[in-house]
Amino acid sequence: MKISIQSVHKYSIVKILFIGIILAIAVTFGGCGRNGDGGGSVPAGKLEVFPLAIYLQNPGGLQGNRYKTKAQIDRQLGWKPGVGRLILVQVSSDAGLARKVPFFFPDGVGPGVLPGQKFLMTVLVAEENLVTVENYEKY
Amino acid sequence: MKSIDRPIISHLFQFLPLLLIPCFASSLLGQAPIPGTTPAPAAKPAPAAAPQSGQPAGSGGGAGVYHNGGFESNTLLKTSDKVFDPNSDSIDPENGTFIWKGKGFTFGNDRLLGGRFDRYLQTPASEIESRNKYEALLDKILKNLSVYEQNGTWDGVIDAWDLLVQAGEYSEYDGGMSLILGALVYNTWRLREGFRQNSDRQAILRERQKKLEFVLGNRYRHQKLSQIVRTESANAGTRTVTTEGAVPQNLSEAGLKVKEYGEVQARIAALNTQKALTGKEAQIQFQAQLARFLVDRRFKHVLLGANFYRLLFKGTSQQVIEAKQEIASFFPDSKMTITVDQLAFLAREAINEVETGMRAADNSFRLGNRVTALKRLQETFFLGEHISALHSFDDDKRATLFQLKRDMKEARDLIIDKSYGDAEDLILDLKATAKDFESRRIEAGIRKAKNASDSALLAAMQYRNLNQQDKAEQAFREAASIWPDNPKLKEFQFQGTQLVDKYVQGKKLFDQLYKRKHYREIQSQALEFGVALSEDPDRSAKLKKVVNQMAELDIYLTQADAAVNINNPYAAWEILLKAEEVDPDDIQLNRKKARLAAQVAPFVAELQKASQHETSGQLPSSLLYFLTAQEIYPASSISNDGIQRVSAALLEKLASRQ
Repeated sequence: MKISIQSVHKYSIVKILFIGIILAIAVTFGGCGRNGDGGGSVPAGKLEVFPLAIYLQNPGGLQGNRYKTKAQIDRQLGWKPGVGRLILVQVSSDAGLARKVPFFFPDGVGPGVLPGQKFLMTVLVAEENLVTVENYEKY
Repeated sequence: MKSIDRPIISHLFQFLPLLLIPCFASSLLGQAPIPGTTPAPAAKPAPAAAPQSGQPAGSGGGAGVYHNGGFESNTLLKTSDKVFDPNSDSIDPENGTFIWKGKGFTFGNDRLLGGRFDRYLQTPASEIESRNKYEALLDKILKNLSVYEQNGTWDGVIDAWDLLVQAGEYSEYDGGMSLILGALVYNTWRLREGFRQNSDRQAILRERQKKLEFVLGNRYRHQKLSQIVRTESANAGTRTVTTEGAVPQNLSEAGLKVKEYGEVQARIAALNTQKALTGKEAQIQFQAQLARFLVDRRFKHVLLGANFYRLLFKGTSQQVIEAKQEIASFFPDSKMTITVDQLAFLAREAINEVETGMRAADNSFRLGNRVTALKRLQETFFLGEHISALHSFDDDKRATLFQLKRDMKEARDLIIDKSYGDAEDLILDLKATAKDFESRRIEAGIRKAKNASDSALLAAMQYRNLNQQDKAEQAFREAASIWPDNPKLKEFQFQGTQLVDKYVQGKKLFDQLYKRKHYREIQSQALEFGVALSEDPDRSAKLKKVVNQMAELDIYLTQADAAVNINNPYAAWEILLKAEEVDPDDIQLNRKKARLAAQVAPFVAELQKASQHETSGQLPSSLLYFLTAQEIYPASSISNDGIQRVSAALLEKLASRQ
């Protein structure tokens, strides 16, 4: 479930406060304490590093998980307006493993990228093991 | 890869029609007055080495010497008539006559003429003994008569007359001539005063007359025929033997002259029973008989008769003969005056001529000029058939000449039958036998005939290759008519049959190979199949497709080899994978793949996984595997194509979810 800022302005402040309380309770007592959980609200700094080796061997086991990773743009594989871009990025692991992996950049997820640029990304291993970039910033 | 140049394919099909043209005679199948021809249209005529389409067969299209209406066989026949004719120029076979010094002897017909000479050649000379005795008797009569002329006693004449009766007993040689002469002399005698008054002489004459009639009645009773037979065996070679047996009616003297003898008998009977003639009538009768002896070539009887004539009609032998009718056929010049002495002179000259002729024949034979010997002997035979000099000719020589005569006749028959091969063999034998056999003209004629037949057949082949079956048939018939035994005719027919077989079997084999997808075998026999399937559009289209396909495959295989040679197994593999799309079952392709598999195993594994995931719809995984494969072989076109294809598909999929 996504929460939109625009929708917040449509409702009353009371309602917003009510919802905020409920969310706080849910965060405090809910089951979102698991690393790499599908929740999108976890700050990047708290996410696990993208397990490249595991992904290459068994990507299906990572589906639904969200990770952080450092990646360098290699080249764009494809683009479809209104959908997004498939971009090949160079991902390195702490163990020294480096591979090029296709990441999906949904439309509007961030600014444009150029080959060679390095980003700190929050990624979600989505359906069919597609690594989907949720946000990214240069580092 | 679509833009790859295809020189082999294009060249193959550019020249395929030309290559197939000579073989497209299979289209001639079906009608086959000539094997291998059919009316179906085929490839366009090749421009070179073929008759022009507008020209008729035999008009020189591509037929070498086969032109101008073919071969003139009449010329060869005329040549053969002359070369193989064993007859002397003095023989006229058509009219059955023999001309000697402007005088004509008539024999009736050609068959009789030839038969008599053949019989002579087959009669052994060893039988000459009795003939010599007969000749000796005649000579003795002549001698006695000349003695009488000297001493003027009648006893010599009676002895001579008695010997005539004895000579008549040699019926085979005498032919009744002595008896006729004897009867004639007897009748003339009876007119003579001296005989009429001498009863003893009359009694003697009556006794002789009875004997004469007895001999006449019993002649031929014991006649037998001896023949010369030439036998050949592997060990003993050729030898001549004499056989004796009953006389066939058509060969015996009796058979040949039965009519004549009948006439002789009747004539003698008439002489015996006729009333007393006047002196003049008897003289004319005697002259007429002498002329008949001459016409019958009984030259010794002419001499005998002339001697008797001189005795019986003293002083008249120089007088002109009054029996005009009898001598008219022998002496064409009616104004010529003939006397009994002239008849005797001619008879003597003929006898001399026979002796000379025999020497000439013998000499020619000895020199190896057998044809000349045969002709001289034949001339001599027809002149001196009743003279012993002719009959002393050697048995072996006669047999050789008889065989030569038969061979010449057979060779001529072979030419008439157009059996030129056999005729040539026989001509070789004739040349070996007779040095003077004029073979060159006939050999040249045979060569010409053979060449004409071969040329016509060549034209037929060319026309068949051009699918001009009417002209091919015409030329074939021409070749066969010129030389029916031409061995190439069978060859031509066999080739036609082969075309039929190729056509039928070719279809069958093509269907089998096509069904089993043995395209490589089809490709290896493409030309043969092109011929066989030329009239089958469906199969031809399939053949063309297979040939194209295999040519494309071969190009891939060649490129793969080149990649291996530059140590780029991945590139080779990718080329082989493209070849696999053309024909995955090709043996050569799979062999090459097997050889490369170990070198490119990791790359292949990634591609296979990429392909499997792509197929199962796991596009992100497929993309990842393609990318992995690309890392192994960065120039991989398959990987690159896969990446682009899967990326696009993935974006489409994501779009569909929105």
